[in-house]
Amino acid sequence: MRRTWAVARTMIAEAIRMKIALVLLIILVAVIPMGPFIWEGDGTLKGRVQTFLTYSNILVLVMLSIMTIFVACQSLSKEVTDRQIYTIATKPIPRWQFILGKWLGLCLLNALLLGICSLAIYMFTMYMFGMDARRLDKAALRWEVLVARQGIMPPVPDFTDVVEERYEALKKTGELPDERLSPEVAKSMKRDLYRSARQRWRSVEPGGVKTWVFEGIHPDPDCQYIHIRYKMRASPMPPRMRVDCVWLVGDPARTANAQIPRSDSIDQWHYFPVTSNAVGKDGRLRVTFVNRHIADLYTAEPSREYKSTVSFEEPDGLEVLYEVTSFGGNFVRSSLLMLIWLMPLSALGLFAGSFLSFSVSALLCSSVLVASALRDFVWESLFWIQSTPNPQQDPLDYFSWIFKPFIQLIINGVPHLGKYSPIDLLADGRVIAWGSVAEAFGIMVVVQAGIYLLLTMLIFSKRELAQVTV
Amino acid sequence: MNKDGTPVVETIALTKVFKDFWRRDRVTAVCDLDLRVEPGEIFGLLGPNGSGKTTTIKIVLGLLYATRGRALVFGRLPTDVSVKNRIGYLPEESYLYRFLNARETLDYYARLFQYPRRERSRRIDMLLDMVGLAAVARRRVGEYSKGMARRIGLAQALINDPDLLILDEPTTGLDPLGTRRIKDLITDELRRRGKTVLLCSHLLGDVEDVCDRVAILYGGQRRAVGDIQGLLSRTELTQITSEKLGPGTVERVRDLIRRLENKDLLEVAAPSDKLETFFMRIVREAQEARIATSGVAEGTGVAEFLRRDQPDQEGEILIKDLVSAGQQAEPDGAAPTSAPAAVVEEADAGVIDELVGASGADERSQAEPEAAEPAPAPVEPEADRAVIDELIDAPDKEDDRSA
Repeated sequence: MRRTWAVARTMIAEAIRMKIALVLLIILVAVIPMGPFIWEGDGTLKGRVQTFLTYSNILVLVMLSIMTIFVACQSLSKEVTDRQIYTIATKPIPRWQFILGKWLGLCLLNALLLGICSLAIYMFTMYMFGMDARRLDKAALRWEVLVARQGIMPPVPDFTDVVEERYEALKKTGELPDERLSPEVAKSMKRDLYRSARQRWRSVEPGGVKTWVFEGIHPDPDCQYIHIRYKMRASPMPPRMRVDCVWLVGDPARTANAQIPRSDSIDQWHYFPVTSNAVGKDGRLRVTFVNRHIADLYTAEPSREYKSTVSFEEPDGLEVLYEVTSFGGNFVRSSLLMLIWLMPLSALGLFAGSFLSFSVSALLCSSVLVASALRDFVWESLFWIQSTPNPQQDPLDYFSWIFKPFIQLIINGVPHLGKYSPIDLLADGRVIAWGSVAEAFGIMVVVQAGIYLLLTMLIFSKRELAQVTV
Repeated sequence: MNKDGTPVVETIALTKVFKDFWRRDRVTAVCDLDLRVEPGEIFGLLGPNGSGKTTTIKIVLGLLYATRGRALVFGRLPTDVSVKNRIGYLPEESYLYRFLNARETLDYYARLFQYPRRERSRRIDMLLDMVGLAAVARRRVGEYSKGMARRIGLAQALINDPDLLILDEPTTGLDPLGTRRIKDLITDELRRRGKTVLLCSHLLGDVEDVCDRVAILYGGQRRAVGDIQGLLSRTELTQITSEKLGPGTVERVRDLIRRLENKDLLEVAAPSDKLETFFMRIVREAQEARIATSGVAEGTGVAEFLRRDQPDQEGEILIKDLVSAGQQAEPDGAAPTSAPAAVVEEADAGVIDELVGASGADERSQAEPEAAEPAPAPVEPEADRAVIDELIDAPDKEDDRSA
């Protein structure tokens, strides 16, 4: 291990003294303090801080990713082309330990730089929180951004029976286009009926009422408030694009409710606080939405005319948020996730540099970086390819069948940042769970970085390190 | 050290063929090479550029793999990591990390041998002193001249006090001072301690000065191998070295040789100092005058850890004395190491008279042993003595006749 550590130390010294890390750090340290003044967001303090957190973290991640690719690709290929490897490979260090040392060095360098940048971002965030602002602005910042909240959505019931009943009813009434439907068409119709049932479950008719029971809410004992967060759609469009409504929130085991009258614009996110003692001891919370003005809450004959059906977007158009831990802890986990993302990238750079020249390996890794950013998009495209090929109709579809497994293999090998991206969660004040950090570590470090490192060690151990000199 | 008689380096039908992108054979760099380097030997690998010397060394070091045949180091494959604990390697150029300074460079390499901190520090201090870079140890290696980088390269090769030192063109880029120090290190310390050295060079003088045996490669094949004295000795010639002689004496010697041996005196010339010797004297004078330099300082001999099997302090002093005596004696021109024929044109009747007088010759040889001793003239001792005996006997006969 002492040998591995020696290589790691030299790796860090190289990045620092060759001024790669220094230049990067200067850029970041110069840009980050400007962030709060450049990125104004929606003009509110909360918007400004959210934008700052998002952009500055993206900037840091992108810059560190680029640096990691360049340093990692250069590290091994340069050792071979500049022949420093001659004196290293003739010392008693196994080549796999040399590779491991390089990777550890890169990871430590990233940890160091990320630590400095994260500290700067955190300090500026706190500085902005301390700035003079309207009380409501500050409260919004405190409860919506500078927290680590858990989001709970109402459990979706199983609509299978409902769908079957509905299907049979349609059959009986002869509303189906043809009674002798093919199984595929019948399946497709049932899928549509299921979707429709779900939609109804999330919708409230004009003047109507709907209740959802949330489960598993366990706020921090010090947490005074929980929040209901929602985004409404309305059809047809209500007057002034606003919905007058009433929320009733309480413990399902009791009849008492907190009444919250609202008049909210549609297609925008809204939230309101409720004292956390509204949650039952079993962690359940009943939330009722009344699609009426408060004045008509208890009247059988509403005084106004209600025409709009209100629905809540899937999947998170209606949820309960509650604080589970502090923003500081969340920030640390966010930085850890960013570091975890850089670890397979370091291994990938070393892998490419172990058999390719610097320029080719840098190009390869940059492509992987782009592929990683577009991974979700490519994945969706693949599913589309999977569902549509019909070689009997179109011979070109054969290509889809041939290339699909290959592309899937490549995509699976690409580090999946999107899935574990902490940036949006952090700016949205949502908790980044340790479980998610552990999962990301398992997949991106143990599996992906592990595979890259094993391949690098294998290639580097087998290859000739000297060049032809005849 | 290998005590079981296993050769330190052995190549058996070693062949290396470089292939092109399409895996077609392109160049045969080494072809069926058989070599054995025995323990304690200073072995030279000679050959023109592209003869396969460096390729052979790289295979021995595990940097390249043999296409056919095999190489063994201490009886093991070169890829065996444990073997590398006993090897020191100085490549043909010092491939160092430009961003590290000399001390950090050596520290890095010492860490790869897993030496404890104190031991690392001790060895580094001694090696920096030895290669004369102690004063510039904090300067980055990237700022070093080529010769200074070579010195650090040598220091890293010695950091583990290796049993086998592989030197690829060790004196390239070094000033005469550094060249001399490397040669002294090989001939004095490493040889005395029974270390094995595999030296690869196309500088014939260097090889001749230090090696016990050499192999000459050409086109990847071994053309000659053997003891350096045996390969270089020219038994058909005899060389006599004397003090300055007058022209008449030379003529008399020529006549004498013709009469006694029926052979011609082929060359009579005045020896000159080797440029190396002259240069060493000038530098030493400058060092004694303490003239400032930003380059390397004079090294402090051999690092102590490289001499640690020294029995006692007395022996160490003896070696110091011997080394310094050799360094001081040479500038005076008393003993040119590889100067050509040493017969002067101007005759000196007195000298030849003394030469032909038996008692006089004996006295001289006893009075000036130091002056004659360091010269490893490639003259076969037996032949030498026979001619001198003839010369000693001849004047008596001539005198008899004249009487």
